[in-house]
Amino acid sequence: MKRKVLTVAAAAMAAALLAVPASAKGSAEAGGKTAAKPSISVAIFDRGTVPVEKGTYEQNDVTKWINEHAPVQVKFVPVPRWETTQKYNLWLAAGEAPDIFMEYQPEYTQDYVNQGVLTELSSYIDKAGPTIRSKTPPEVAQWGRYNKGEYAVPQIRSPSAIPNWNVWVRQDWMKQLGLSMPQTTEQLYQLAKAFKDKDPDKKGAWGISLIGPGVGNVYLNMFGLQRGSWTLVGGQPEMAEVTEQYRDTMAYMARFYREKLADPEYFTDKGGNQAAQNFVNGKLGIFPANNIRQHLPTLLKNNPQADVVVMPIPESSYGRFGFYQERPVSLLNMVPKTCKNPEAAVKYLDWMFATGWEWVTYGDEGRHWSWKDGMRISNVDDATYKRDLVYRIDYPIMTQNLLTPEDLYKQNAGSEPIVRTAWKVATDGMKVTMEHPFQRLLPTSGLGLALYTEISQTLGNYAEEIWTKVVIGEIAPDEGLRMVRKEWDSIGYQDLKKQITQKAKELGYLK
Amino acid sequence: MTAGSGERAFYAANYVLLAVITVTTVFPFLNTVAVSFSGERAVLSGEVAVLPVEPTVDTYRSVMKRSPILVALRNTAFVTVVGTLVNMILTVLAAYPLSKQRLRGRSAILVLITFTMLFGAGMIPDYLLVRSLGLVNTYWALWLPGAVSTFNMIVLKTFFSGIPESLEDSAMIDGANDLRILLRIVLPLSLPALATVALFYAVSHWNSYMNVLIYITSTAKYTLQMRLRQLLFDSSMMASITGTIQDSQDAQSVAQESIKAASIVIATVPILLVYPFLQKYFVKGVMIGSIKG
Repeated sequence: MKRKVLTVAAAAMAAALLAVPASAKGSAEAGGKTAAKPSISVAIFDRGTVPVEKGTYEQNDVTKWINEHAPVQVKFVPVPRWETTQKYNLWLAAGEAPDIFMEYQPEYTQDYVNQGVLTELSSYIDKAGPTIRSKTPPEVAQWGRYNKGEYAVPQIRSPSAIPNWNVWVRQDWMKQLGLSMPQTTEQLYQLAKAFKDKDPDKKGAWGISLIGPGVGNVYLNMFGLQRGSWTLVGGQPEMAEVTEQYRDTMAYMARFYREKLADPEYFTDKGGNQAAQNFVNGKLGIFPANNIRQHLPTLLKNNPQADVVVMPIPESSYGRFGFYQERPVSLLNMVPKTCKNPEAAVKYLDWMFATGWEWVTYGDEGRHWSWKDGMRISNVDDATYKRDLVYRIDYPIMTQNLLTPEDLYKQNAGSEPIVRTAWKVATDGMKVTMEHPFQRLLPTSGLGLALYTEISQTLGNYAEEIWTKVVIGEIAPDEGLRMVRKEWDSIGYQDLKKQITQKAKELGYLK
Repeated sequence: MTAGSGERAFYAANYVLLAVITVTTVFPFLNTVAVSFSGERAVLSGEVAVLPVEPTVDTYRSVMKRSPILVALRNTAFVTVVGTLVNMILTVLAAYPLSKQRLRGRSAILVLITFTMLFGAGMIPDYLLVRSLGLVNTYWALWLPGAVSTFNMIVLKTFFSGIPESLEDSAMIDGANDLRILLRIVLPLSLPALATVALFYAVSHWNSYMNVLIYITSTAKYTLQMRLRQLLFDSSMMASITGTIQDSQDAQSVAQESIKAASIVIATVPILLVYPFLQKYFVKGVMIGSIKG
């Protein structure tokens, strides 16, 4: 008996030992096949959405098509979307990052530039990137430049992807109660109170929610702030959390909390899922959310009479601002210093930008979409899209697929009434939100400063803790502001402020 | 022995309390199972508790057909079985000699080994080492760097030291060599300790996430923990932490709640099937060394 166990163990060991050379050989074969085209490696965000029947992120019909049509041979390197930073840092430290890798936040690019791990691309773009040069608008192209060099190739953001945070209101409730869209924060409070007191669906509704899925603090936006961002106070940079505006926002939210107009459990509802659930059940009147299309169909199935509309940002005592929106730039494509053929990398980006994106985004004409009034109209329903096309979204890293909200509606609405309504409400909402642009007084939160990276997390966490206590009424607003300021000063906020001021002047953001 | 009325009241309260606790711990499981069998509208409206609402098996059909979770499950099983074998062989072969007084330089070796418990090189040097050995993107990167856990090795060594020397002496007199003594005398006498250590290893392989993330690049080789993490990664959760979803794609690729639930059920069932049979070893194993007798 024991002998049998030993033999099995020994066999397993031997088999395992043999497996090493075998797998090493496999990877050599894959890399060795080079035709006349130069070959590069390109990172691809792995979100786990490639259906098994289509293959993997490395090998599927899209990668096959790209390799047939692109001027370069491409090897795709999946990077788990939820751990991109970790993976990139590891690869960069080991000198084996893919020839093109990408992120959204310019802060990352700035960090990498400071570390000196990126290739300066201007000469390569001049040579191999005619489309990049001619078709990138200047307000997008500026996001490629860091420390006076061109270190990233920015992707244009589609106009319909710019509005990010929205607040949705039950219009049928407003009509029923004879109320109109709030124009000021005070009217918003009155509306929330009316919804809570009158409870039109008779389900025990909350008037408003202090949190929502896919959005941060929309109330800060109403007071002209954004959490963790720099603002200007008397011409000087100041982090939002230590301003009087922030205090007043918290006092405003505290009122909803105190008078029970909003679900008091909001701080345990991290992803805003409870708020969403209340909303789709008719238990919430004013609902902050990123993507209404995720929630509206359920609400309409539960209550076909429901009518939802976006709320334009109300005016606060500090003026009228805008809800958080994106910059006109989307991905920033970067080429590491270790890339052996940056020209080929730029060539690939240029090809994707010029022509490649069309098929990669939309799939086959006739099957997935057809032309109508000069526009590609989708032929697939939501479920089929999720199954057959959704895994493509990260392959077009450069694109001219620029859609206004109307385009988006025409393209995707289809014929099913509930889906159509959801698209209509969502895209109409985008237009309204975009009417009030979001203000960025200083363009990036850290301007690439090491001290910022080091302490901003600690600062933010402490401030969050104190300010939450202000909202739930454990600390008075003035006392909260005093506490946050004192604690921040003790961990180096004043130094950071000095550094930021200097850096902002250097970069020309401040006089 | 009959219980007094006070005692009886105490027991009653105890049972009620324990029952409540049991129900609260079982509820999330039942809820996940129910969600995995429910229709999307009901799930999103929060109508599902412990019984499926608008029951359907479509979710399972779609997970079985499209989701990479089954492949990942198979990969994890492979990594766990082979990895644990490698662990056990190497750990036993290290622990047994070190348990023998007659081994020369024994304490020096032990100091060196213990040193690794206290100091590590850090992630990037580890990665560079594994890469220069050509192990990146092979499961050997998961098996070899942690093949011998110092802690487990010392547990085994201590157990082996407890086996009377005279037993081995008599085997030696009967003509058995060291290997035979190890296989025929020492190991059969150490089964509880071996089972415990094997369980520790197996669990750490099953749960291994960081190493897979770092060393495995090919998606076909991803293990269960990678896939679960991916599935449960919620962009709106991210948004509430970092403030924004700049990545507008995130919003589109969020998995349906029922698909998440079904995947979790599929991933949990194998463990549920095996665990009851292993649990007794765990209990026994944890007691090892606590009482000398």
